[in-house]
Amino acid sequence: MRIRTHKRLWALGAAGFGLALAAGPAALAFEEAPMLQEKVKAGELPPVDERLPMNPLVLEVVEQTGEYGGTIRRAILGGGDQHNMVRTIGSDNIVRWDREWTEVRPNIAESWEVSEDASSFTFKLREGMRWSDGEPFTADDIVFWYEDVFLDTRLTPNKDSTFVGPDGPVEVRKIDDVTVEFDFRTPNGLFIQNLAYGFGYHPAAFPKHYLSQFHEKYNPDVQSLVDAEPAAADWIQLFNLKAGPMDTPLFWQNPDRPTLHAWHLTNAYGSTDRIVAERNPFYWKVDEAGQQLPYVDRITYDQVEDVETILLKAFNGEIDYMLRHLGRPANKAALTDNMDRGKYGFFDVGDLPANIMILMLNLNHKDPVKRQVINDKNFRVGLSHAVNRQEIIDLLYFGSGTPAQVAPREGSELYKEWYAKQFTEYDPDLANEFLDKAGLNERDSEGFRLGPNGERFTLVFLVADVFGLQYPDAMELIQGYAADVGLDIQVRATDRSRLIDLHTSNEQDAYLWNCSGGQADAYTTPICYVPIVSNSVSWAREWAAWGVDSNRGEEPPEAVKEIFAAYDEVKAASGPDELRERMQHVLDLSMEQFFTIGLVQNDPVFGIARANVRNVPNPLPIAGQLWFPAPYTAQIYFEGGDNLP
Amino acid sequence: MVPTLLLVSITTFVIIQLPPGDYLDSLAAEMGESGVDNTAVLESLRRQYGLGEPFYVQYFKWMRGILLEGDFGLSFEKNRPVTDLIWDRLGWTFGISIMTLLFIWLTALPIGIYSAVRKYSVGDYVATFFGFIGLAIPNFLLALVMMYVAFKFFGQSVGGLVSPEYLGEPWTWAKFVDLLKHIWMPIVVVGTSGAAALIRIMRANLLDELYRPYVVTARAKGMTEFQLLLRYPVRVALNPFISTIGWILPTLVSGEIIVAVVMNLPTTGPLLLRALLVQDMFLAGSLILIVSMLTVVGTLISDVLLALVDPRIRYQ
Amino acid sequence: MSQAVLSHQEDVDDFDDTVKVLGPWALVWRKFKRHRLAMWSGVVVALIYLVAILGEFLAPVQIHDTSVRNTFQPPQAIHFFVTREDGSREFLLHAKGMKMELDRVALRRTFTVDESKIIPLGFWVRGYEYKFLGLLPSKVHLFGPTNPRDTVYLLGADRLGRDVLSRIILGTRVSMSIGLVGVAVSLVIGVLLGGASGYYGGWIDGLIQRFIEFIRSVPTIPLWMGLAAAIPLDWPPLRTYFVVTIIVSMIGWTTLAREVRGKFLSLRNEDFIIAARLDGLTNWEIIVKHMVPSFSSHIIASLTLAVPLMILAETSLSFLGIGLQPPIVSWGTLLKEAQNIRSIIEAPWLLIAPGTMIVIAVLTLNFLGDGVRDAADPHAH
Repeated sequence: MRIRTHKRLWALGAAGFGLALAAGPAALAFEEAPMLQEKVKAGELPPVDERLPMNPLVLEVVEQTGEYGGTIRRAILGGGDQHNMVRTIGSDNIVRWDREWTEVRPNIAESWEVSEDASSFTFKLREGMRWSDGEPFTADDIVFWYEDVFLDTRLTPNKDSTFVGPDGPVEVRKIDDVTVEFDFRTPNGLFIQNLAYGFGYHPAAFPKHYLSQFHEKYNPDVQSLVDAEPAAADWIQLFNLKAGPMDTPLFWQNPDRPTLHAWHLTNAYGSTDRIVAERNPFYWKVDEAGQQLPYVDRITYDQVEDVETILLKAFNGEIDYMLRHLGRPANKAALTDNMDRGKYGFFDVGDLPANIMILMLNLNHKDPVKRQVINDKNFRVGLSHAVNRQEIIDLLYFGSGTPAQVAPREGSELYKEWYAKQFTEYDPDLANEFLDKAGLNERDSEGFRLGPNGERFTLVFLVADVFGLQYPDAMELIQGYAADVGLDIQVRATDRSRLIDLHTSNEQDAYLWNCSGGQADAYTTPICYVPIVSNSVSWAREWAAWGVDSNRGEEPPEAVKEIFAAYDEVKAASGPDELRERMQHVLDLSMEQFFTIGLVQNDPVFGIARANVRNVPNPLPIAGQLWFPAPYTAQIYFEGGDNLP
Repeated sequence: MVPTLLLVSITTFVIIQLPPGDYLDSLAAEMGESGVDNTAVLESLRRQYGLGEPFYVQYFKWMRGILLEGDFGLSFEKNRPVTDLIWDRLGWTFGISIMTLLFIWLTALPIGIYSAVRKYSVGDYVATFFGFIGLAIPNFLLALVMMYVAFKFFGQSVGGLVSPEYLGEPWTWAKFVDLLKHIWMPIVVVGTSGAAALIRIMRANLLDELYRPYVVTARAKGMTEFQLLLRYPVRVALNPFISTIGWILPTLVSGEIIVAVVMNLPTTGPLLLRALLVQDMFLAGSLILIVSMLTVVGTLISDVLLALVDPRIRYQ
Repeated sequence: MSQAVLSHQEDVDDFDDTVKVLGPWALVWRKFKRHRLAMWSGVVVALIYLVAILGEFLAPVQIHDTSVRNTFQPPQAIHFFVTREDGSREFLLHAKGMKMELDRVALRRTFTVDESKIIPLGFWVRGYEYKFLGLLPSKVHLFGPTNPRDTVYLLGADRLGRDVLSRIILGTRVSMSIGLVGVAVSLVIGVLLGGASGYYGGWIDGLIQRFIEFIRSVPTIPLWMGLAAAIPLDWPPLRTYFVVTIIVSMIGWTTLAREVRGKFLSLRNEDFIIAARLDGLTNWEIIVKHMVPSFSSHIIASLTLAVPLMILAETSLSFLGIGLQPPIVSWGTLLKEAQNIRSIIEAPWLLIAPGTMIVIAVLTLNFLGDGVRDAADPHAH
């Protein structure tokens, strides 16, 4: 057994987890779950020592080493709820964020090294590690992903930004069976962070021994497989079907695809009443006592059609561990009342984005009049002062939350008070003053302000009832505040997909949404600080397009170009202090511009766990990109080895 | 019948194409949760689903598949042929429909007769009042309240037709008993409005018959009231019961989509609603087509039955 | 001519009335009056429409007014007597104030009755300004707190502290008018197509019958969803409202058309129609002068029975999130807002109040329709 020291991520300072490794499993004989022991005895499985890699990951537990047994019962919506699985079992990448979301640690890779200029990254994989079907996982699998999937423009017409540096797509080289190098040629200081977030899953999600049969290059007779599959017309469709992206239903509809996850699906999402994921006998994590993880035998997802049913199931004690769909302020009182009946308790969930309620005004509006007004900072400041944030918080969230702009949270290393607090006081007089300054000083007979063209200036806000945050209610209030200062806001309620459809085609005046970037993700997803093309957030789509390719979109003003340049500097930073300083500079510039109007920073939300569920991460950080608790679900266990009755 | 079905198939296709956007927009909305831009993935999927072909091409491909190969196309969201997905659920839909039909008949027949014979009596008012309550309360409201009552006062597991411990298990006697404990709820919820309508029709028809000369004659000849009632007027008034066969299926599949969603039934309703919402167009289209087809067939069957039962109709 | 036929029947039917000859409408009215349930239902329906018309005059609180301190406040009871300090009891219409406590852990507000705080209530009180019948500016409201600064929530408050009573009163306007407008649309289409089908027969009849068959065989909810989703987003709420109404009426007209056709078919060969034709009347004259009057009471009955279906359809659309949208208030949107476990547990009045209104409206309209139909049927006894 080799124990390697590894080079820690420079970007995030030093902390001692080497200790756990050093005291690790070398001297121990590994232990396994009783259900696997039986299979070993029956000769269906090799012994545990052969199933584990030479150097398994010793996962730090939240409270104590646990015991085997039990089923984590959850509920899943009949469609569109794949993140339910992604975030409990799916996200287990080459590297992972620690439980506090403060530094990146080894995961599939036992260690890594970074070149001096942060342009090349060399990962050491675990020798003897296996896919969930028992086949070895080696550097060849990563190279297969790189050469035959990522570089193949038929399979990957557009490259995921995680693997694209300032100088173009990454180059991946196999050094030996357990060593691979990711080379960006120019500094890419955010790569390790990005790799630890959700979308970093790609390199270790493509088992070559299984997927090569669907690839033209490896299987000359692939057409016969295509013919046998009604859902595919050619091998590309077939390959996409068998190797779908994790955040689409496709991934969860192919239980045959081997994974490196703690539990492995036994049936497909969407085709049964209950999805069952059984423990992966080849999982490569152990606890400090040398017990192979996961502790819990299986996870089940009962398919329901309505969120209300999930709530009733929780009351009935039919949910063991869950935050999704349940952890909304509106459900707290009813869940509190039924705690005894359902025998569950609450844990905190640090779902703390940069802001949960943002007036996203379209700075690149197609209409010149609206564009001119919206681009006037005085206008945005005026609107910001017009909103009574505290009343919104009191009404919608029972006083839980803080009036704030879109900014890093207090406690984050990038926090500055003026970022969060500027223009947040409710002051209609001040609002009127700024709106007058913005040139909207004429009013019509009904008291509404006129635009520069002499007609009533109207903003149409799109709103969808999403995230359980009562956006339509909020919009009704905001409409009232705006009317108080003579600003005409019209509200159009719609559904999420239509809203996205409209704003990604730049056809909106404005809409209400949230934005990540409140904590460590400010570095990697500054979507509300820098114009970036995104599916969820559009406040300057044309500028963002220009930022990717200066032949497209529309050239932004100098101040915005400066922000683009400053963020490029962040990516090229080569040390943690430099990284922070440069990001701070980006934020200084961006906050001065005041692109979007933030209203509320929320308090932590909650999840429920039944009374005998142990090792529950509390508080549990989650974010758009941070697909938690997936890397840590394996160490959750049931006290007594089974579910409470 | 054939032109009706053809028209239905075209309309179906138009309906599912009416809302702007397509399945990928819905998928993009779900994927927005992942936090960053993933338009990269969407582009490759657009090709996967053949979206972007002209409308009529998609329609003809679809119809050709159905007519020549019995292939209803592919569900975008489930990535499986539609035919794999729907038969199970159609089975449940049929099962529940038939039981609901029985429930409606068993309640509406005696109540309807009673209301007609004892017209304007207290019993008539009470019976019709409760019948109408069933008609007047929106189904989804009734469903949710009943679920909550079942949970709160009977401690029953809610949602679905079997308790969680039987999900995915093979059928046993215990599972069947468990099914019976759950299935009455949707039947009652869906059945009440149908029963109310039928009570009213039954009462009206029977009233028409009761004063016909042949009844008066029979009574004059000394036939007992009960015999008299059952022998002729009730038989004639039964016609509307037969007609229910024609409409119960479309009612259950479409009208009660909402109930099925609230009560989490494994019927076609939730599948159809979901398919419509995310514009999973071949799945939605096929379901609508099949339901419409069954409606037409159901109407035909009820017409034939009516003709068999009632010689007057046959004559016409 | 038709009148003569009907009056003749009346002579046979009604032995009490030996002298007076009643017209058909008077006859229907007289029969209807005997149907007491239908009579009372008619009164209730009239009252509901009165509420819809008066609207703001009856609603004590502006419907969009929110109040932080009153979210999910339970209904306040009306009391009649106060006990003065000297122990004497005095008549004073009032409600008791409520004390609110915020539970920051369970995230809810709890309310207890504050016996000491008395909110006097009265009739013809001053409140927010509105336009009476949409014309006359007024501040007078039928009922409410005598001090305009007080608010009472007689049917409780919703999640934003809005007055449920006022919202239901103004929701009545939208819901009941959807019923009426929808029925009007059904009436026009139904009578035109049904009439043409029944009168002309032949291929026209065949074509229209196939069309009706087709409409009926398409499941309604997908049809609605497709149509509603196609409404452009930039339309103002009012236009959306009308389109929703028309969508809802898609279900009504086929039934009506069938009934009209049936009537036409059976009347076509009646003696008095043949006589009219021999008299040289045109088709149009025959239809308008003779056929329509002879079954217009049936149409009225069918229409009355269609209104509740429209109201229920609107609630279903709202439930699916494709019908009317806030800020428009209808019974459907009110019910949709309350359609969750949280409301059942914490604020059942949100569910009970609009639910009861819908049940009352649907019930009375049904009874009314039944009564009209019974009364209109010359053969009924």
